[in-house]
Amino acid sequence: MRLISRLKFQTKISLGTFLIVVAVALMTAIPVSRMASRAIIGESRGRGLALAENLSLRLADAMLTQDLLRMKTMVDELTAVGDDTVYAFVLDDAGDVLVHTFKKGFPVELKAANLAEGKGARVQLLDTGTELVYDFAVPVVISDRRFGTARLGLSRSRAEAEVRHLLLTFSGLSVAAMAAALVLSSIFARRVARRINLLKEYAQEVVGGNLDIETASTLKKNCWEIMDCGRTQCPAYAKPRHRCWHMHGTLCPDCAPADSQGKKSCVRCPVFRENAGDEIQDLAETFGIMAMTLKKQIGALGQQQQLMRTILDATPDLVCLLDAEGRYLAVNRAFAEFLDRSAESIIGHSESEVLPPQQGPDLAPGLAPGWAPGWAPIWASERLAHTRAIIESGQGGQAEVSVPAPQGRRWFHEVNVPVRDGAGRVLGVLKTARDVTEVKRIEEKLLQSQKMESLGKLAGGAAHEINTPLGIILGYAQLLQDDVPEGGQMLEDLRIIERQAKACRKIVADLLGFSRQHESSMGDMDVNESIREVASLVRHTFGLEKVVIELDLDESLPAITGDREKMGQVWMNLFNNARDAMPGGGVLRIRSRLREKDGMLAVSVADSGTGISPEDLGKVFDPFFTTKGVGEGTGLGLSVSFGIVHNHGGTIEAVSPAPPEFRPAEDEEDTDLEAGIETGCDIGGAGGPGTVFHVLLPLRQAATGEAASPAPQHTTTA
Amino acid sequence: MATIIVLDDVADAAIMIKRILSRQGHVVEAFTEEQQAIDFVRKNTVDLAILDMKLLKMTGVEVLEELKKISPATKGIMLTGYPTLETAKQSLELGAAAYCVKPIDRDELESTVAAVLKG
Repeated sequence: MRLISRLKFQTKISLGTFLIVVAVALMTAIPVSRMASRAIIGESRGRGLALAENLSLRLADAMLTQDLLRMKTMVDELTAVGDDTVYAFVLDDAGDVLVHTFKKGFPVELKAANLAEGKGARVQLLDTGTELVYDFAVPVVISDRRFGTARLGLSRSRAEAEVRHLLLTFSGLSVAAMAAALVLSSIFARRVARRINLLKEYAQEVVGGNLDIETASTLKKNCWEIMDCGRTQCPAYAKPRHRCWHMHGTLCPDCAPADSQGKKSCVRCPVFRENAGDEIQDLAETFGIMAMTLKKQIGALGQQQQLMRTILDATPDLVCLLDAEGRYLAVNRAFAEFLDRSAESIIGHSESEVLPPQQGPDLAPGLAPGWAPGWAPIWASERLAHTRAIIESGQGGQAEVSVPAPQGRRWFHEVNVPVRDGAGRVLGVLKTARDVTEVKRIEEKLLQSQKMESLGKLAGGAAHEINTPLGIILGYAQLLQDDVPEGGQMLEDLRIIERQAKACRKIVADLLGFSRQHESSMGDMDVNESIREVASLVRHTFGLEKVVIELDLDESLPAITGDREKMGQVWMNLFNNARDAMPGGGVLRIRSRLREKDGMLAVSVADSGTGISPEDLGKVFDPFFTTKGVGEGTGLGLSVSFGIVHNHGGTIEAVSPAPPEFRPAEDEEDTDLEAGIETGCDIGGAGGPGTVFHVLLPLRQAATGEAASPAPQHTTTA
Repeated sequence: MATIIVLDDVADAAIMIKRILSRQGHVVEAFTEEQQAIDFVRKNTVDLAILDMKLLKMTGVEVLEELKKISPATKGIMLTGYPTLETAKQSLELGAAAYCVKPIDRDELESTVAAVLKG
């Protein structure tokens, strides 16, 4: 069976055809030859009988007259007529031989071998030892009286020779027919096999990825020529190697619509009748159409895939798809870039291979290049557990996570969604993380400005309440000094009360200044001039503390509307703060710049001091926040400055550590120091991270700060 | 020497100013009720009125307006814990001679009063 199935198709067809012909030949030859031989022998018997009966009739006359000569002539004639007549003889009534045709004497035993009883003829097959002979015995009867018996011997072997001859001819014809059948079937099989092999080649081409195969032959007359339609929009138009009856959406008005199974009935169409081939041709044509459709579908699929990829890669969100085991199935470009790896090196790996495995500063180096320790929310173990929980529960979730990335701390809003199949089983998890650092920053800003607003209200309210009783205390302390003798202890005590009451009054005034509920006298002011004024005021005392003041002022600054005195107070506060941040001396850089496109004027006051910690940075403008010792600062300086700048419609923010452009370069620093102070001074603090205060003031300000001030803004940037 | 009235909703504050100015030799009357102060001006000749801006029923500006109707010669010094440009402008338009921010210092008070009475 296996051998047969392994045979070539062509061989199978040839062999099959041959076997069919052989079977047919055998099935016809055997009964036909049998029937023919029976008929020949039957006919030979009939002829023998007729001859014998004829002889018996003719003998009657000679028997009556006992004419032996005539009888002899008659039997001799018989043997002369056919070469199959072996012998003939006549017996008289007594059984004696009258005449015979034997040349070598009559064989006596033959007389008794066949006896005719009554008036009927009798046929007997005799074996002479050399051949088989049919012996016919016919009685000679005249007027119902039997005179004798005519005997005739007819050879059967001769008839059989005829039969053999017939069979031989028949076999020869059969063999010739078989040979012809073999040749014809081979030709036919080869033709069929060749076309099937062609189809096989097409199929191999398709498997190999070539979908541009042309399986159908060109036609004498194409459908658009037969129909003379001129419909160039038709999908079948000008496609000589594709058959219109295999296509859908043809525009020919004669086209029969496809049935529910998508088959078209084109049997009556003249195009079909003229061009349709056999089944193999049809198969080839369908194959071509299939390849074409496949190509179109693959193209569409590729396009779709490209589109999906573009969407996924274009989004700035970090997107990844994990399977049920926590392995990455797909990641987008933003995700790969964030991890600083290629997408290929991530896909197929589990989270534990891609992310740092554990939490804590004892993270082994080199596990996750680019990641700082303390990367809490992305630790593989946590995330793996999280992924498992989502898969098990089928419940997604969202969370905001903080990530200390190399570019600074980032905030991500992460959404985790379980991915299900049609049956609702969870197959994996889709994780999307959006960078919300900017949103967070704005939120924090808003929160800070709200805090400052309410703090201002609270401080202002408290200050007002204290103001009146404080005024009374101060007044009486001064009044009583008149009533006590000069030089006494009482006078000293009253003076202390007065002094401390005045200190309180200063605090209250500062608080009111911070809460913006104070009088201001706005007018034209030159910011540079105001800065220079204050700088020259403090330059000497700062010099004593080894603090060099460096002015870098933009002389093109226009005058702005502002309160000279109040702004002077702001500079003074900032300069004093800078000095206090550099206990061992350092450089105080003051820069003014015009920022025309923002409609702003920027003043930056930078120190090279100890800097401000990120925790403190958000609090520096809060009233009473101070890092200085008791009695050294009220903690109101920056709050007041904040209030004043705010009142001018401006903003003030602190940045620490200071950006590089505000840090003195090594050589530059030396020059500055030499120029400003005595050489050889220890300038501890000069090399610190430093802090910059940026003050932004609007260029054209309306008469009152309240009227034109933009939304309160106050920022701290880490 | 001059006759002066002080009007403040906080009695202690008014009395304190009265004590300071009395020492200067002025005749000083302290009030907490607006109506009493207005009535006093109607019955007596008053040279100067020191008015707090925030009073019990009225504002210092309104009281000043009333006083000026009764006695145009009476001068006014406004005192306030809530200085604003608007009230300052209003007061000066109504003829106030000075506009001072609380808490006022003894020296500042004495010099302002002296200057106003002189001018």
